[in-house]
Amino acid sequence: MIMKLLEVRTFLMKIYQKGRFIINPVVKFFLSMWVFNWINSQIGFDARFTSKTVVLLMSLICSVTPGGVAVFFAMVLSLVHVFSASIFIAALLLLMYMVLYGLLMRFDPEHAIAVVAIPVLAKYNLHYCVPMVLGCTATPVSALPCACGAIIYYMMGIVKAASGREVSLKDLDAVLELYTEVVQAYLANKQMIITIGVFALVITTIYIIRKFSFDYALLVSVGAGILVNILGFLVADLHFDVPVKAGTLIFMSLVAGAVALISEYFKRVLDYTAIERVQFEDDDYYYYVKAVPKVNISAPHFKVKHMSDYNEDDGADDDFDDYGPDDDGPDFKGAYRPDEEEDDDIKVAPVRGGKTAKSRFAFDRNDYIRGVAAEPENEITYEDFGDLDFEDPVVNIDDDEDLSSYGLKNIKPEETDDEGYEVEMTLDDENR
Amino acid sequence: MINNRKVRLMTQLAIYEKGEGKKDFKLAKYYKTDYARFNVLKTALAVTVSYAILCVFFALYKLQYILDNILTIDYKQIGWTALGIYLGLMSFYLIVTLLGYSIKYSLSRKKLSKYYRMLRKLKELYNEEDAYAEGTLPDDYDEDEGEDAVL
Repeated sequence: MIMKLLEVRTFLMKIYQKGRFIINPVVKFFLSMWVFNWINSQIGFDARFTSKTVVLLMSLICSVTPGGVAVFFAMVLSLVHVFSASIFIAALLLLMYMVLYGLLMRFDPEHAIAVVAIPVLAKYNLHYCVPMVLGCTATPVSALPCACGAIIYYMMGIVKAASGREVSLKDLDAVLELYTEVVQAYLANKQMIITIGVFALVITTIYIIRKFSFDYALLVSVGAGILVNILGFLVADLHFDVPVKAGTLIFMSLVAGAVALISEYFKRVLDYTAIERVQFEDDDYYYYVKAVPKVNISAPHFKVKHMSDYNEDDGADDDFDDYGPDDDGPDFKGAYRPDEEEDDDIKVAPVRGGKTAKSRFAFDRNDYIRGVAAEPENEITYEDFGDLDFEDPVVNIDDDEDLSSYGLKNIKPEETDDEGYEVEMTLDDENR
Repeated sequence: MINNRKVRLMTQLAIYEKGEGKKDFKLAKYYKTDYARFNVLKTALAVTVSYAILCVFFALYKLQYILDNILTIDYKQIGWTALGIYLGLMSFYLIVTLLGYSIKYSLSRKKLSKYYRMLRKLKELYNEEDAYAEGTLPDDYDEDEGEDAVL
């Protein structure tokens, strides 16, 4: 089962390695289009910005720029829509965004995507995935963008309701009344505060437990995260009288846990399989290097051991005898490695035909004598190396050239007092 | 002839320089205390602006009450309360920022020191090449020994 999963992962890695430059922008394009369409469906007051052309254009830009740009565009789009409906609410929204950035977002801009992911996924009750995935892949600081996402999600509902009302800015009383209503609706929203608290708790719980070194720490941590998520919202339901659909909550928490595990499993695919293309130079060459990471898990490698007809030369350990005591041999990833404990598990199968199997460890004196007699004498051969085997040095550097401009220092052969050594090496030796 | 060991090392260096090294180099311009202080300053500014906006929100929310009791409000008490909350919020943020950015700086330094270790190794390789060119390579020189110990 695990082997199958590893093979699937390797397969996906290979596909991703090859198509990274196409897959990344395409995924980004569809995700940003999803976000912009969600904003348009929620607060699409300005018809000009709900058109397919604008959405496509913005998604296209987001597909080739970092994730933060998509968040910025989403923010601007929401402001533009609200502005066309109510200037006052738009100003409030802008100030709110500034506060959120100043107090929460600026400490973890890398996970800014959570800010848009939570509102968009909340429509399908999948927003529980976000803290679980962040708990598995990030630090507890990522609770801040999560909190931002939750605030924006609940803020959108209030803004949507408030923007529908037409209020003239000249009528100060009406503006104040609207403002008071918005703030009251916001302060009365206990669900938002509970969501922020529970999500922060889930992220911290998963992070702390997965850092332990016991077996299956990750599985346990995700399990704990699911439990905290369910219990947190259920307690909030009982204590603060916030309505929660228990069935949906439990089911979606389990789904979120599964998503978190899958994301953790494939995290390396996205993080480390990137083929790097770098270029650099030294004194002699320009290098254009394509570096392909060795993260592939090799296909299953089976080694058949014939235990019934054991011959010393066939032993698996012999593969590693060529290496010294301190050298473990080549580091084969995923290849078969014999291990000391394995010997205990070896069972000798009886040979068919009723003949008793010879144990690997059984000592037979006759066999030993025959073996010694048959062994050929060790022939030690020495290879002769002529001077011609050593080619002229390829790297030719002028001794007189000043290398300090390249950041190097000139090295010259040390002058020795033993002049006789120099003399012996000259070709004129015989003439002396 | 291309020196494989050198290419391998230089590739590692180039990948680091192109990727996460960019951030680390920026950080390396500062001393740890300077870096932490600079970020604390930015945080202090952000918190002050955000707190001011929140205060305006609150004042607008209570505007009706303020207008009704404009003469009887205890401004001194309100001022002290606002200042107390501000100082509490600020000290929390400053302590967390100081700790957070100090840790970030230390982690970045670790990566950077590994980078410098590789650079030193590269310099040694250059020296070896020079020595090879001049024929002064030591007799016990082992070609396989090298970058694996560093990487």
